[in-house]
Amino acid sequence: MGELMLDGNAIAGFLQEVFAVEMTTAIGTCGGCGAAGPVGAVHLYRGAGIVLRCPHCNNVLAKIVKNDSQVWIDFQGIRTLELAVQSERPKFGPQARTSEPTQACRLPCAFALGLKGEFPLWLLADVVAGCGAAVS
Amino acid sequence: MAGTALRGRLTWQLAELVEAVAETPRVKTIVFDVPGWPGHRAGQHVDVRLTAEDGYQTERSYSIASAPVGTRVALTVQRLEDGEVSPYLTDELRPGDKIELRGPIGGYFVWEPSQGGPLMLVAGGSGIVPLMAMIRTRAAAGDDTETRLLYSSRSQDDAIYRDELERLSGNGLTVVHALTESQPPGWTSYARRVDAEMLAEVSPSPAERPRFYACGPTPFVEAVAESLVRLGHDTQAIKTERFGATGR
Repeated sequence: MGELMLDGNAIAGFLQEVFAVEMTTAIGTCGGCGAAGPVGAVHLYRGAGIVLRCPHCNNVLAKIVKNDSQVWIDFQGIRTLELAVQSERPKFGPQARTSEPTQACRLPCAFALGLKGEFPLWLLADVVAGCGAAVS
Repeated sequence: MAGTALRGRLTWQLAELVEAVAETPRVKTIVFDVPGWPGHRAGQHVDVRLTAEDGYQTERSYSIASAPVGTRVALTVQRLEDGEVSPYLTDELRPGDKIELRGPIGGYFVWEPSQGGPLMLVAGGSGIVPLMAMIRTRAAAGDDTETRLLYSSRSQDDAIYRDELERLSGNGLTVVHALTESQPPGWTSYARRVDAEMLAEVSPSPAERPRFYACGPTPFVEAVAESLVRLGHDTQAIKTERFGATGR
C-alpha cells in the first residue's frame, strides 16, 4: 500500500484544470478528524480512479474518476476548502474599479458560483454533499 | 511572482527541445524553449502530454530542474525500463522536436529565497530534481540562506548533478552524499540508507526551526518524514513530495 501512495501534489495540474486556481496550497479540513492542512500534503492513491485520504486519520476525503470527456468528484470527506483567490490588482485606486472576472469555479455548488476574489473563498462541501441533489 | 503562479487556467502549449544532456546512464536533462513561459518557482512541476498517431494520449508530471531563466525550462527525467513516456523523452526526442506541456504547476512544495531558512533538503534518487531547482534558484539570486542537502543515491555514478553540487557548495550550502549500494575507494561519507541518526547529524536542530523539503520514492519519503517527527521537528515545517513509477 505504502509504495502506491503519492501526495496531493501529484494531481496539482488536474486540480488547477478543474478549479482554475492553484490548489495544493488550499487548506482542506477533514470531515472525519477535523484536521486542517494543505491539499498538496494529503495522501493520494491511484487505482481505477484517485482517492485522497487524510494524512492524520486516513479518512477518505475525496474520490475522483475521469474519462476523456467527464470528471466525477466525490467530496464527501472534506468539510471545508479554503482557497486564496486574491488578485494582484491594487485594492484602492482607479484600477481597483476594473471589474474582476468572476472566479471560474466549476464545482456543482451554487453557493460558490458568482463569488468574486479579494477574500478567502470558503467552498462549503456540505452544500455540495448536503441533500445529494445535483446542481448545475 | 506568487500572484502569477496562483492564477489562471492551465493551457497546453508546445515546447521545443533545445538541448539534451546525459546526467547519469539512466538520467537525462532535457531543456525546452516554451514561448511565453511566465516563469516558475523552485519546486513546481509541469505536466507533459504525448499523443500517438492514433490519437492515444498520456500525461506525466515532471519536476522543473532549472531556476527560472527566460523561456527555458529544464526537466531531468529518469528512464524507466518499462516506462511508457520516459524512454521516449530520454531516447527518442531530438532537438527541434516538440511536445505539449502545461505549467508551472503547484505551490505547496515550493521554496523561494524570501522564505528564508535554514533550509534542509533531503533527496532520494531523482527526488533531487525539485530540490536542485531550489539550490539553483538560491545560487542565481545570490542568496546565502543556510542550506543543507542530504542526497541518497545508489552509487556515486547515480548521483545526478554531482559536479554542479560540488561547484555550488560553500557560501552557506553544504552537500552530504549517502551512497547506499556501492562506494568508491576511500569514501568517507555515509554508506547506508538515510535514517534518523543520519538526519540528526546533518540537519539543523529543532531549535533552529529548519524548513524541510523531502522528495523521493514513497518509502524513502515516509521514512524521512517519520524520522524527522521523531527527532522533534515541527510537522508543519516538513514538506514532502512523493513520486511513484508513473511520474516525478
